[in-house]
Amino acid sequence: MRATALRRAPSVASNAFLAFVVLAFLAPMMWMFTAAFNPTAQLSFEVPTDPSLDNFRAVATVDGLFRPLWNSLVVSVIASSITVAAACACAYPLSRYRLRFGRPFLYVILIASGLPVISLMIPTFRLFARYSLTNSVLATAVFMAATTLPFSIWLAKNFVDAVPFDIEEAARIDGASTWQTITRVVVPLIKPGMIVIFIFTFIANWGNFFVPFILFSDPSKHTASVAIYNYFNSLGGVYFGRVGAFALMYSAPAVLMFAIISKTLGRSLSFAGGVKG
Amino acid sequence: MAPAVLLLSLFVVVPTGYALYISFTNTRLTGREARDPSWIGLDNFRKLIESGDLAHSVWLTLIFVVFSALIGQNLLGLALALMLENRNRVMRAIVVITVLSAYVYPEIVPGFMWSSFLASEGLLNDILPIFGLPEQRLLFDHPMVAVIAADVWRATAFSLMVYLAALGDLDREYLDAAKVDGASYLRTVWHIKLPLLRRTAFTNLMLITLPTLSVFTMVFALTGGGPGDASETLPLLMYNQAFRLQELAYGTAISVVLLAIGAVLSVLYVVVLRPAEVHR
Repeated sequence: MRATALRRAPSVASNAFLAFVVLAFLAPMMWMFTAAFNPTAQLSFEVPTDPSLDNFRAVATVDGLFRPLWNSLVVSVIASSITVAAACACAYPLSRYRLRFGRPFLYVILIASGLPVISLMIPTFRLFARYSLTNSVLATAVFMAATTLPFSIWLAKNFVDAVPFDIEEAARIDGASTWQTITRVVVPLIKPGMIVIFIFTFIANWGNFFVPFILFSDPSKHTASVAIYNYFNSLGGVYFGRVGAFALMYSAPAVLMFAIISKTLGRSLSFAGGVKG
Repeated sequence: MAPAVLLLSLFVVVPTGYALYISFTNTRLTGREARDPSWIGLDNFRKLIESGDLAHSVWLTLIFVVFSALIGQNLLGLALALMLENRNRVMRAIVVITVLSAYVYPEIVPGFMWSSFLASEGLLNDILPIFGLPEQRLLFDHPMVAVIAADVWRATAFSLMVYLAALGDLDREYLDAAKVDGASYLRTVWHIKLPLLRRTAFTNLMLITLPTLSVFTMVFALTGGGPGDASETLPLLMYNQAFRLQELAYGTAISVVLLAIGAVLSVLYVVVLRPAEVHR
């Protein structure tokens, strides 16, 4: 009797705790959803009595919403594509060959993935200004690609490591060249990994605020993150509902993409737990 | 490997070297010292120390990293993962999806959410009186508490995923042995699971302290480092000095300090951890 009571007690307590955590996590985000559908929304939380799409209609302009979203898309797709290509091209030899400098290189990459990217912003801002790269979408995308590269190389190496070398040998024995082996055998096998890296870096780039905030001065180049921030600062005090609507449309792609990879990502992040004691 | 090396050299190594150079000059954002800066040696670093800016911001950054990453995200992630382990599917999904969704929003959006949540007319002040608690003005009275709470909210998902994955990988033999011996749930957690998770915990701390060290957007959107300099962590001090006060070189000296702290922590973690992946 006493034993069951004791065993139940933590369970009741932890259920209560879990419920509290769920509510505490939901509470701050509810405002975005209620404000988006409430034309008279304020900073306060209010369930709209007369929900409408007015806010969405008001922000759905080319300059206000569509161009910033498009800019975010372009920058993110370019940056993530470069990252995936460079990371996989780098991970393959690291995984397959005993390179003399392989180990030190991996250490450098691991250390680099921990460095605060934010401290590169001022010198990059100066360098971009000096070489007339400010407002260049391509240059900014390449910079963003470089900053997510170290972590992506790590992820990519884990994916390549998981492909058994026997399969490659079999292809060689069947007369495939190195290039054929890579494109016909290795790439299809690590494709799920490449997609994970793409989406993972895409979400990071899509949400990135500081890099475009510093490197784009031309409003027509602003990404959604910067546009919504400027909107909040200039008109947000009046039209909170529109900020909510904008935020909702801007968040949706990231949430959707995350939903797509969440299962695979959980497993690939377990490389962190994979170094178990 | 060449493209990766080239990218990293051009966009990471070169700016790092250039940052060092700028920090030894009197470069400003605009005006004569923007076009034609001169070498002033260690003056920026001297000013950082003598003005007290550095000590103040390093202290706030330390508080932020300890309470947000080490305690908040890490322990909450671990506790949730342990509690979710033997829960049914539905409950597990509800908790994981809720916590994850906070992590997925583009980083500026949670800034708006928390601005509203913590505003004097915001939802938190609707909730607190229900439990007989006084209304608060966290953003003004305790800005550090505000930004730490918001950051824990945003980033705990990462630790949760890491711990959930690690718990799933635990060696069942130990757990079965404990069960046969009749160990209680809490004893199993304390004497078996936690020791087995030690390495995971260390890896997790490495993966979360460094990003937390350079959190900018959440603090920028919520307090801008203020009121005054009450929540001016190193990234905020860097931005405010370089761009708001136009002291670009002084701001760069701050980024050099931030980079040095990040590098020391990074090297320390890698040396201590010596990840298995490097040695295979």
